[in-house]
Amino acid sequence: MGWIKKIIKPYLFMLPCLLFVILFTYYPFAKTVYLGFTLVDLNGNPVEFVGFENFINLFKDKMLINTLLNTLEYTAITIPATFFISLALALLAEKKRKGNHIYQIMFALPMAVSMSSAVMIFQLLMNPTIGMFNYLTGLGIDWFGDEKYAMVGISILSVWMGLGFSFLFLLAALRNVPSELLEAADMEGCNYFQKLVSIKMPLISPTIFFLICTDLIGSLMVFGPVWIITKGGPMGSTETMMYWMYIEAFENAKYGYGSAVAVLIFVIVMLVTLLSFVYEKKGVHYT
Amino acid sequence: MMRSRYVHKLFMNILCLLVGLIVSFPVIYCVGVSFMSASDLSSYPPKLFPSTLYWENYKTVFTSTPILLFMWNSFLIASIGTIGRLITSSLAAYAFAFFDFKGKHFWFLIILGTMMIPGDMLIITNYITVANMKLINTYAGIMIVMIASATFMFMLRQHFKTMPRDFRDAAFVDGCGDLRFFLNILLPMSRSVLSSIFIASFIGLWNAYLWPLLVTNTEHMRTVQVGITMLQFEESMVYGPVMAGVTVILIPSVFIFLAFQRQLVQGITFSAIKG
Repeated sequence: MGWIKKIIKPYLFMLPCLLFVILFTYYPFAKTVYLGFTLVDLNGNPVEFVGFENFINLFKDKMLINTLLNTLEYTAITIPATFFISLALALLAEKKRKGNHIYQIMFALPMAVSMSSAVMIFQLLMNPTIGMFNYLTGLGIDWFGDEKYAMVGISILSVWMGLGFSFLFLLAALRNVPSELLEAADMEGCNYFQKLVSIKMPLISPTIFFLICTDLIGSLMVFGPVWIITKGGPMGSTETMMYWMYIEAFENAKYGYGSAVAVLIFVIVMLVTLLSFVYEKKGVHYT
Repeated sequence: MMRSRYVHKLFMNILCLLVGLIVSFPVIYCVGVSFMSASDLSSYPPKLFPSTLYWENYKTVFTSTPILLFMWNSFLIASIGTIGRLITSSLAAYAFAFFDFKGKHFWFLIILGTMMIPGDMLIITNYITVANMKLINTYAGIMIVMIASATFMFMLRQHFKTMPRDFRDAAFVDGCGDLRFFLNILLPMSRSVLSSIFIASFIGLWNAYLWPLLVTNTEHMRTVQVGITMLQFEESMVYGPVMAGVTVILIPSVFIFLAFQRQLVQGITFSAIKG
């Protein structure tokens, strides 16, 4: 009996975690792919195998190009903006001075604010008539009501939400740069900018790579702010890929077609991740 | 020389403080508006601070919206879900750190592999599964998909691996079994990692939006994050009470953030950089 116990014991420890992982990640993953090839009834049961029909329709759907472009616009704004602003914040807070903790907490504060709270605050902040944002910047834009600016508005909100997280990472990375290297550079007469470009940036590049990767995946899957603020509008200008999937599956009750969209999103996320790993080989410096 | 360095320092401090105010401006603004009456709010130019402290907004939020219920729901889900995660992850981490068994590497990769699959793309099938289990509008339905976490399992496994194996051997000599060693020795020794994970996970679950939105459709089951976006009021100028509501739900997360900032950062950086 003892040896049986010894053999199964590790599996017993592993079992609960494995069970949930299989039930709520691998099984739904496989089933989502399968549903993509079927027609699904309202209860979620596949009724007919339709082959590639869903995927063919996907590429004929005008939502495809629209959601891709909108998601791309969002990504193109949020990623560079989040990165450069949080890098600037991290460089400001890098040196340990007196009172350093106070503004370090202020810089990281957006992290403590949940997505839906941030969305509610920015809806008021960027309100065209009573909002503070237009007043302070002198702009007269109807941020979430104008199809030209709605995506920009959502991107601004998302940049703010991402600041705290990126800031804390970059700060930790910058403080890990060995001070001997910087002192040596000082002796050689390097200025601040040279030190930043030639010493700090290469040394923190793994962190930068990680942040851009996670942000990239996050932006490809953006949904919450769109759903709460604009519901895809005005004129479909904020429809993103996740929004498309949500609408097809849960508003139009087309689970099969929605699953096909989910598979497409997954493929795109995978491709982007692979691409960024190709870049990693060239641009990221590991010690 | 001394003087110019002092001026430089002072200048940097003021600059940082100003930038800090700009970054945290939306939060300050939210608290300010929560104390504004409708006339304060609609005045032009917009005000940052109310002319008088107007507590009506808070009264409205607590009396005419179920925000306390929302908070209770979120609290239950976040704490029970986190405990569930700690149980499943620490048990699995123990298996991977202390046992040698067939297929160990394979199963380890199977669990880690879930990090490659974005959870949001699975919501359609998970929704169908949870609906078939008749768990729509239940706490269990919201929590069940979040019970296993590869990240936390990995963190704990890395931590357990730093523990000397002699501890376990010594405990076994003293007559401890695996389970007793795990519960009475290993877990108490891992308190700091466990608390980092607890906080990171609690905040994560407290802030969850998409999944709770999907599996709840009655008001009394809503979580704060979903509920706050759906507050209904009779009057048209509703921003005052809404901001009061947002302030109320910000208090716990900002408090946790301030109190446990170090653990939180440690937890996140660990899971991210080493993962």
